[in-house]
Amino acid sequence: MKKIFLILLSLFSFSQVEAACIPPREIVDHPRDARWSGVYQRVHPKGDFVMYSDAPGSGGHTEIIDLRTRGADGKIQPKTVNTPMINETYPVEGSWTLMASPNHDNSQEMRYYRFDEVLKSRTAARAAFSDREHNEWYHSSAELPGSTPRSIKFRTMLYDPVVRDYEAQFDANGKLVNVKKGEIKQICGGQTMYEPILSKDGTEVSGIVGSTTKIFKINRDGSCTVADDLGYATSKTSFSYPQAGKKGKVTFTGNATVVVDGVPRMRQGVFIYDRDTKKTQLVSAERGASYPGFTKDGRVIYTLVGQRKTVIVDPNQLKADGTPSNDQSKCIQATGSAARASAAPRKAGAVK
Amino acid sequence: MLNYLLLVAVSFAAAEKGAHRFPAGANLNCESQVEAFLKSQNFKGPWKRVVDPQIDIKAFRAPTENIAHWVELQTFADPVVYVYTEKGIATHKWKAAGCEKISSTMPVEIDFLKKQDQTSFDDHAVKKLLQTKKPAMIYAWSPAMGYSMDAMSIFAKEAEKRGMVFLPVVDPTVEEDVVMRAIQERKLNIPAKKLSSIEVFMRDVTIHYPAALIVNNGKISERIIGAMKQDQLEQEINQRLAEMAKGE
Repeated sequence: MKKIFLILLSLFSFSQVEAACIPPREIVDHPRDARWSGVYQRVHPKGDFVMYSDAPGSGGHTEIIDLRTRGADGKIQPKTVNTPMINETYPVEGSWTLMASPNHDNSQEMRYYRFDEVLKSRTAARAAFSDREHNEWYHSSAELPGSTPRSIKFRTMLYDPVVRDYEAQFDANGKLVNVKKGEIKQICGGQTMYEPILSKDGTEVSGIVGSTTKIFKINRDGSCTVADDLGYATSKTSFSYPQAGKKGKVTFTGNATVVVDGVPRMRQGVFIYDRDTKKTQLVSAERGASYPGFTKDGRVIYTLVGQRKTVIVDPNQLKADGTPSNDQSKCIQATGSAARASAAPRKAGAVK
Repeated sequence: MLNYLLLVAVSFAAAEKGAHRFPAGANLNCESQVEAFLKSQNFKGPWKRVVDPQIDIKAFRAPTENIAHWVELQTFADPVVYVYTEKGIATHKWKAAGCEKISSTMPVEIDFLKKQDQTSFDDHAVKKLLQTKKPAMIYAWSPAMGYSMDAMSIFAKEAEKRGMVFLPVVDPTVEEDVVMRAIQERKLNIPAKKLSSIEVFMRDVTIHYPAALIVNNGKISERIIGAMKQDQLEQEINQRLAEMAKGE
């Protein structure tokens, strides 16, 4: 009797542990009405949305895929949100309250939209404010430390790299009441840097310098100090969200010779570089795996170019070759509908 | 004292040898065996570090004296050298204990070389370019990266201004119908030449589109990365030409 009780107890505990983890890897097929999906993907901090944005010559359409709804089978039911934003729109990283959309209607201005307004009004959404002086392609934006819901301080960087800091002030009802614009200044002494990208808190920049990707701390006076050197060149990186006492991670695509099913393959894969351990992790060697980004809880979301798919991965549940492992000891915990979804099929699996 | 000096001299010689043949930080087992193998492959260098393929493995690539023949060194405990040729990827592995060569495989096909045909930009085309006196610009683009199509005319114009042959080559992972649709919709007026060259691929042009390489006097430059304005492109090309003239 005691034995049966212990077996039941261990089965119960096992299913509880399993149910608490998100799946190691979840694939979402894009909706049929998603016309522009697949390129320049950006990832919402909670993983609730991904945004795709094309370049100007293709029309520059920006589209959001809403990933918040799950069906009875536990699968994400993605929905397309059309937007008025264009030209490699970049979210103001942090809370995604604002989105920066450059070169509108040949007006040569950067338009800033409120994300909640875009979700509500879609293509009819109007820009909250704009900037004609600081507007160019290959931009990135991020909320600076010290932001609050009533006062969002953020930085937008253009390719050169030059930056401008802003403060958007909102009233108690969330209405934008004022925008303060700082001076436009060059950073890093005009260092030649390819594919520069701001960190999630806007205090660092990564870019290719020579044959390696470096991460620079942006000092108050605009000068830069090398914070990390990856030792190899990458695509544009995407930083993880700040964590106390840690430098964090960056994710990117790169070309590597990886062994897939026992056979060496030259693949463009998705990787993570851990700035604290200085180690590189292979996340995916799937064909077309591109544009990875982090959520706040550490998931990596990337797209499979040409396949109209988004992939959500828990990097803590992967083997060294990027395939899912059975080790859930450090898994990311499921919450909300994801928790219910991960619980249902896994309990069924445990009964078998 | 004599022993100490001898030890210093030996260490210095070993460090010199390592610096010459293997990249810094490789921490390689079976150096002499791997070195002899690389010599048999007509190793030319220099080594360039590429993304670590897995945790605790470092990878370095280098050209050989032969076109479309590259080597990649991966520093497992048991070192591995992948040899890239038009036939595919061959694997050569040594056992750290004893340094016996434990495996050597026949080449396996490279994904991006699978569908080679008359529309491909392959290593035969690269060989021809390296033999001709007229300089050229290889411009890698992709329908998946819009700015690579937007910026094409800027690069083409600059190439023309400098008397360079402009050679647009397209991302090998994108399906042919998608490429054709992009060419038609954008009115690009270019051939749909798909990148099928190891020599070009190994220079990382597929990590970010657009990327351009200058071919001049039998040499290929480091890549020019990203879309840019005409004045910046001029500077980039001048810089690459200067580096090539210096032999960098």
